[in-house]
Amino acid sequence: MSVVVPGQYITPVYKLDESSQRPLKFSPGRGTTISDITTDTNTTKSIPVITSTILGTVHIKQIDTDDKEFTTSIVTVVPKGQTFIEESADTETSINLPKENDVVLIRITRISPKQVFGEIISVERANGSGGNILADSGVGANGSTAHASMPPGSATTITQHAFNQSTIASSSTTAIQVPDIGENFRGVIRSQDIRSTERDKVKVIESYRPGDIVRAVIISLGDGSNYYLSTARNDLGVVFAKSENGAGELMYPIDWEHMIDIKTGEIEMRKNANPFV
Amino acid sequence: MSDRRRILGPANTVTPNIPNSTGSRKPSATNTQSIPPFFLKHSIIENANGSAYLEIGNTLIEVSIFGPRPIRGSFVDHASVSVECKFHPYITPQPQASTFNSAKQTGRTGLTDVEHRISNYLEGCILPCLLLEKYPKSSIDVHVSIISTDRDDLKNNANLLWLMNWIVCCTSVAFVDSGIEMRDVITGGQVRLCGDKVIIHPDLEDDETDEPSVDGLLNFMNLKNDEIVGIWIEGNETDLSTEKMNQLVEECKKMSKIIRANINSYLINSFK
Repeated sequence: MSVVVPGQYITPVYKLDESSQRPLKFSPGRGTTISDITTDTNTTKSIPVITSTILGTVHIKQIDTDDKEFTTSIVTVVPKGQTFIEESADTETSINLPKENDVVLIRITRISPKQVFGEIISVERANGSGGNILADSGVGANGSTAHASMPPGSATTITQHAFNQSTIASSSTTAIQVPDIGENFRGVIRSQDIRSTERDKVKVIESYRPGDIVRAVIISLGDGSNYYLSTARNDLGVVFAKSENGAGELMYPIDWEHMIDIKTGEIEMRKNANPFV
Repeated sequence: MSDRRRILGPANTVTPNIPNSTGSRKPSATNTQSIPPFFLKHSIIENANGSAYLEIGNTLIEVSIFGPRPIRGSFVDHASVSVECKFHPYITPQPQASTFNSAKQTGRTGLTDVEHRISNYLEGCILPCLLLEKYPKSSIDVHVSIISTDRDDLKNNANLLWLMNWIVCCTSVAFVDSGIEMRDVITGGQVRLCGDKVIIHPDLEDDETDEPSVDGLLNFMNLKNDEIVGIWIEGNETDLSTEKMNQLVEECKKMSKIIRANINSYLINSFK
């Protein structure tokens, strides 16, 4: 378990095992990349070397492939605070951005007759390596000073240190932006992606309400603003909901389509995630 | 009768023995061949994804990194990077302000021309280093605050380059802290070639010579074939020969590697 810094060489991609004379092949997992490194003497020749991209500890794990010629191993670098997981999928980056086919939890923020809007809270992965997309969902807003942190910036918006009053620029053309709080990666579930059966008869209002926590799968990275999500599977749908649009108590599923608030006895319609597990 | 309008301390107080301040910390007359000691710390800002603080002489730099966070608008398959470097307002005049800053402030961003130059240079350095394709639909925002500069030599030609170099180094450490994937840690070297002399961080006395000199700043990815990611040259020498340029690159590379070794050992020690 050696510690590496970004840029540090871990192993060449191809290597010969000296004892067994068998060629070894290494492929880059999370936290690593391939760099072409030239030798000092001859700058035209380069060899591919697996290098670290983050600060962390190195883990090398042999995998079984059909390749008769090479013994293949996957090299991963695990950052501080995370543990190495044997069966981890290896294309993940160390920061949990949602990808296609990831199961995520979203909070519904807005519904319309055609689709449901929500924000992605966390990514669920089989091996437990998922988690919140970032500790602060990427807003730079964990902790008590959330309201004073930076608005998300890009080329078109102006972001500044709002927590450092003396550095706020206030030239005549610059209006200080009110920070956007709770900004997360957003997702949309179209009405035809809500259930797998009778998908043209689905009514959005009978499936999800704002405030519901919904388990969904990412079907596409979508456009600039939204990921496209689907709940057309038995294990996907509402996991937590409160009655009366969030004003009431927590509800419990009674079948695939209904939830009950046991305090008031009120029954509301939802597209539940499998209630029988 | 004691004074009732004021809250007085207890009567039997003892004044602590506070030693006299030893005056301002002036960087000692440096050996022309050595890099002055510097102080580095990361994870200093709780609500940033990555942050770092660097102190060398009177130069104090703080870098915070926010992101990757969602952007609005059209789809992008890799992260976009925005960089903003700012001097704290009490740093007047800003280094090289007489050369670069125009009378009117540049409108939209609220940055002065010097701050623009610094931001542009920094962005140029970090772009080839980051693995932006790993972060689709996201933006990464870098904010650099320059808290203090070596005021004694504000007129010094090399001062801006010196500052720039440490901004780049500090930003690299902040990126490592953020966990955003990068190909290598960027460091750099900044030297002055004056006749046959190689001077690291020239002071005022070095400036008084009439000999033409050239100040160079080069930033490298030292572990990735010493690739140059940034180059900035100032000076009053009219003719920059190939030999001079080669010497500049070699000297800066030497300095860059020393800084890199220090940063590496700092990072590895901080991991434990």
